Amino acid sequence: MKKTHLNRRTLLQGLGTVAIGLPLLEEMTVTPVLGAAKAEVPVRAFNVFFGLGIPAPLQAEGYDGVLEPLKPLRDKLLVMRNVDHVRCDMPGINAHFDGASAAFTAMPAEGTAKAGGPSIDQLVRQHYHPQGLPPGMISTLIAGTFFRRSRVVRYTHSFKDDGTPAAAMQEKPRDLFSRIFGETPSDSVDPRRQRLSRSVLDSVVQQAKYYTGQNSPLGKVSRSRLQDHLDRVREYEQRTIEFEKKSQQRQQDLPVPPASELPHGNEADPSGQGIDITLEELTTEWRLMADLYALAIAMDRCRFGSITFLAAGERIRLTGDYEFGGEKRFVFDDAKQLKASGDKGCSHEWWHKFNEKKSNEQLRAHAHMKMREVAYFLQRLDEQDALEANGKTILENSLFTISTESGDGRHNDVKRELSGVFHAVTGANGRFKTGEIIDVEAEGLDAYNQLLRGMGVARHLGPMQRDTKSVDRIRA
Amino acid sequence: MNPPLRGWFIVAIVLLACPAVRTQAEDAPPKAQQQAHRFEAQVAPILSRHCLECHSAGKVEGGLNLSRRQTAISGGDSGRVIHAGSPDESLLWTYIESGEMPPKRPPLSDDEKKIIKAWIEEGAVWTRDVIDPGSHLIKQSAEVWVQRLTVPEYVTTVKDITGVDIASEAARVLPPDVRADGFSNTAYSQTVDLSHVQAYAELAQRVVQQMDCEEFAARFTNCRTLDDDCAQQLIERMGKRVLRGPLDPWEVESYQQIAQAVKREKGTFEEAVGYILEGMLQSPRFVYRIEQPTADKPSQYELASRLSYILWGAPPDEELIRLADAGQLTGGGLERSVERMLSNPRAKARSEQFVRQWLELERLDSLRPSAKLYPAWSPALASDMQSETLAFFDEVAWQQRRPLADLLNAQVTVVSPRLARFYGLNTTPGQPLERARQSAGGSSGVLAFFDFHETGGDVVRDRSRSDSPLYLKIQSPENVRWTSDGLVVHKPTRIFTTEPPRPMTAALRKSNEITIEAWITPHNLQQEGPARIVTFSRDTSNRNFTLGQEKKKYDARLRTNKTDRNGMPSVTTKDGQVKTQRTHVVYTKDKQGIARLYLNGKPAGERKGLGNFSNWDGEMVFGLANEVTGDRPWLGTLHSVAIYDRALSAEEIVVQVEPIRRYDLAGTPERGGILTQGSTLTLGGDNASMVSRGLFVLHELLYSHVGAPPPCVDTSPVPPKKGLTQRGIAMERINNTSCGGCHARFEPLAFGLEKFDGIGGYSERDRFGNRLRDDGEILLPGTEQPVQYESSQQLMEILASSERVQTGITRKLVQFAISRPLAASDQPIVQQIHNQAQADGGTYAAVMRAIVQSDLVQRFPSTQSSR
Repeated sequence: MKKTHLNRRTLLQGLGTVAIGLPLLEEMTVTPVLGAAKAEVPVRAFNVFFGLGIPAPLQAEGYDGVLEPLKPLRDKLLVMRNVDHVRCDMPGINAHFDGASAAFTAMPAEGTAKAGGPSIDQLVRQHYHPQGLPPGMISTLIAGTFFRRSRVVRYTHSFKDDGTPAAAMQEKPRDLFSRIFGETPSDSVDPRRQRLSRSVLDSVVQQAKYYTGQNSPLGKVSRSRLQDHLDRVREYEQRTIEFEKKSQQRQQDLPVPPASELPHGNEADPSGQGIDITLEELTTEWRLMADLYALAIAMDRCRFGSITFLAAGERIRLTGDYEFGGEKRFVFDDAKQLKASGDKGCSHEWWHKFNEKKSNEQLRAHAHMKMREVAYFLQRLDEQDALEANGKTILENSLFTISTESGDGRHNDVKRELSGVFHAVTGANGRFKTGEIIDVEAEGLDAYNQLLRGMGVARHLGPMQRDTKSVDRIRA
Repeated sequence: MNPPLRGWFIVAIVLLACPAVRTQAEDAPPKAQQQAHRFEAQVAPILSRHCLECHSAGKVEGGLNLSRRQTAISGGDSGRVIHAGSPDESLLWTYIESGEMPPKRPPLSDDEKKIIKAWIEEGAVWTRDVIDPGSHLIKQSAEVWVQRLTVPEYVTTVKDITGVDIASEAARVLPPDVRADGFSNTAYSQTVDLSHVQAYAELAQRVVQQMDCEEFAARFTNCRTLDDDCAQQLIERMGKRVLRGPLDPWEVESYQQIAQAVKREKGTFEEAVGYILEGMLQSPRFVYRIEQPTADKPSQYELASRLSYILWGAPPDEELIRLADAGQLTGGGLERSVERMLSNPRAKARSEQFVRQWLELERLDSLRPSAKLYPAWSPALASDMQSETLAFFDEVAWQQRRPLADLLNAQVTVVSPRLARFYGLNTTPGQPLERARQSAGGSSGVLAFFDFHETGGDVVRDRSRSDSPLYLKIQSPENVRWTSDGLVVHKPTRIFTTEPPRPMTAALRKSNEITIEAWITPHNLQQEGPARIVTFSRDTSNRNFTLGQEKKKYDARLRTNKTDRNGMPSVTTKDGQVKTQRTHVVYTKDKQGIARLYLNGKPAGERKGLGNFSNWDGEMVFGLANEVTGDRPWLGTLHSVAIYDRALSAEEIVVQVEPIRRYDLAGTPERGGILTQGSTLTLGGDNASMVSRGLFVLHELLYSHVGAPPPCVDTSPVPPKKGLTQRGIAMERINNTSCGGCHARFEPLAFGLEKFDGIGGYSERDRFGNRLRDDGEILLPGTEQPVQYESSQQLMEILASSERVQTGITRKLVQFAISRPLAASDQPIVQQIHNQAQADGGTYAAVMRAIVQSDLVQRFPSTQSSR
């Protein structure tokens, strides 16, 4: 058996101080399903979101400013300046939400848990896998480390045609791990029980098929929901079969990542008032999530989805020393520095206070830190053991679209706030330019549709008829 | 210098003579109908989204009010802006076309522009007296998504049909319902993922494991074999109950294949019933409320489900299914059914779910105000605030059956003694509420909680929300009796975990604090050993902790690095403290090493000098009513038991004992109604933000919206200081020409609440010594004249008597009932519901009655795409 290119030891080292016991899954030591060993590099598209944005004037500083952590990857990134999401402004809704829902869809939201249309990754997925992904693969993987959760669109960034999330959010390492590798069914060792459970599952599949088939009495949106259900039941069925096989080879319990130590659910967003958190707490869990997500990509368990580092309009009161490149750059202590408690003591406020005539020291530190963490994730897929058959890394071969919620945090000018929204993309196996910073000066719709065209996708985002602007310059 | 001309003031300066705007559809149908439809469905929503922010009663830029037919036709300060039939002469159109309107907002889309132009060309038919932005602002189509059972609905449905309470397991394995557009049952957001499918499969298996399948099958058939006819009869009858209606032949055949598989495996009849039920419990027909809109009305079975889930949050009972069989869910039969359902306790439980979601009461579970600003805050106080609002709703809606608008100003509340003290209520409380059953586990930090609500079996379930709930196995089930008041242990038995509860051990080691709380009734005063009530031990001389009874004394032992392995020396009450009556017993140990015993809220024993838990034995097991060795039995009734990872304070313990009571607020005029309760006052955050509170009233009660802040405004919040109150800051915003137009619409709604601080405490002055006010003036959406009020009580009376607020509450109930945000096209039916409910008294029952009788429930949407 050929060993995978992914160096598991490197991965484990990357987990830092977290005591994780990754299971000795067969997939982790052998050739991935369709990954590195195949001559054909798979098409992949992922959306990477970070909260609160980078004001346009700071983007203008290039890699010398808050984008510094991305510098080592500059040859593999195309930074797109002056991307405009103004069309996504919704009266009465603040730009955190407007901007978050605009990211990767370029359309205004249609509800607090519903985007205005599909996201880039999903159109790519539909184009290349109209009948679904190969058995055993995860259709769409959505994960993230975030706290603000008053609206789903703040933190979920992969949407189906109808604007609903393309999958459930995995926000705990253990859950993400289970989603990627599955769990051992409790009764999988009893063959008789397995056979009878299969017949039970058959009845579920049969019913789901009826409600999604030609004679379904359901309307379009409901049928689509039942189709999701059917797809998940099939995935469950597939996993059950896989586990049955494994259980014959190896009768051992699989260790799992440690329980999350960060708050989740209501605890993570106490009435919008923000939470206290240290930098170490935040980055330790995020990096574990990033490692697991990267591992899922490297093992070809998923090819589409999104990952989020902090939600739109995130509210945390961060403390801790911030180091970069071996030197101490800043000391986070939001509440103290803002001289406030509750929501008014959160880092979010630095964005409200942004003023291009001032140093914006705190905002810069936060944005820099976010770029450090985004870079951490991207680098996981750009290491030697992430090389694919064409000699390029997964990062280079895939479309990673990196974006955020706004280009200005002052909430005082929709035009400015939803203009100049930070965007960077990877080359997607030579489809797009890299190593450049380009002023695209176009709507997000134009930029995204250009990405889709570049990916060979026939469909496009947004209204059928509108005046478009060419952003051919981003094509390689 | 004159202020810049803004809004339609500019366009109103020039006005050309033109034919009058037609005020109604004068042409013969269908053209008139088409034009009316265009206005209702297209033009009014566009005007709402793009124009009314500056041109409505609340803000009349340029003297132009486009929200009313009469004022729109009359035009602005300088004359008319709409010239029917002549778009080019209509400044409304020319300024839209050029993009000058709306100023500094995104322009209308090309499609929207076409609609406006065509509407004017066709005569500018204006069919409504008033355009209500609240009905149009959300550009939401009335898509009807299939509804997946919410977690509470799933749990209730399983329990109603099988008798098995799967609540704690469901809370652990099912992903939580996602809140969207104000509620957690919004169908479009009920997406499905692998974790759902896995959970449904696992839960179905667990349910069946806890059932007597043969007994269950006997409800449907006398057959006991697996031959085809017998299996078919079982599947048809059982399926009709489980899946809420008759099965199609292909479905019966599908489940028969399971029976055949069991037969092939030489399984029993009971086994086949279990597997078939497993299949049904995870089938799409079970987890979704699937309907087949082949006609314009739901079938009788579909209607039965609609009624039961809307009114009860539960599946149709056998009576509803019987009526559906007979086709009697119509006319008088339907009315009688609705009345029967509204008088069922499930209707009240459903209304509680509504209140929880509407007011987002769960947010209090995690609210953490600044300890410096609000030292009085505690998780227990937050819990009391939740309970107050729920009990208050119960009082108004169910006990007194008052109109729902009285939720705004009813001079009564129902609170715990702790919250009453916090509020400073100096009125005499009423009698304790009988309906409020006291239970352990009422404060935060619960690691394990047993309420003994199981109706039978040999397992005691942990109802805490722990990721690792404890399951206690009753060794001799015949020695216990399950009652509605708890578990009666009438003969010795062991009730223990089968494995060491390691997560609990880890949590306690981390905190080095503990509380053991129990509501019990000892059977006698002779049991000794001490007789183990709650224990975490290895044998009679090795324990982490034990709470026991030594004849007429209670005794608590805790292992620390300053006690021996047996937890000695112990803390003991005086002799004679044990009574054979319902007793609240609490043991705590805090970080300072002080251990205390409390009986019925009063201190009953104390010991200092205890250490930490570093020497705890991680392999011990947790149990009740005996030692793990079986030789220290305790007999009596276990009503509830909770283990916490912290030491409850004396005050918290007192409150656990004292029942909640009703208070007449006639002598406390500043309190009265949901807006004066801590649950909603905390919405303003530490700074008691008038913006947050005002927007809450605007959105949740007045179904209205405002635009985002206009350009060139510094939105950084200004903190209050000496000489500047929150109201003063609000007035600065209101008087600011850029901000005032919108802020004047919602901040005055919160002026009357200024005397309530960030956690709902009342005072005449803020922390800077500034005197606070509660008078003000409000302009309710849809009205022309502002109304003044002198006090918060008057503000509440204005709101309670407002048609707008009453309609707002109806709209919330309708949304919750149909599980989707309301769309513009729903407005006529919603108005009918509201009118009918008001004519019927405006009570909760009246609104629900009107909802289930309306076309939103009695019919399918007219278009296939909406289904």
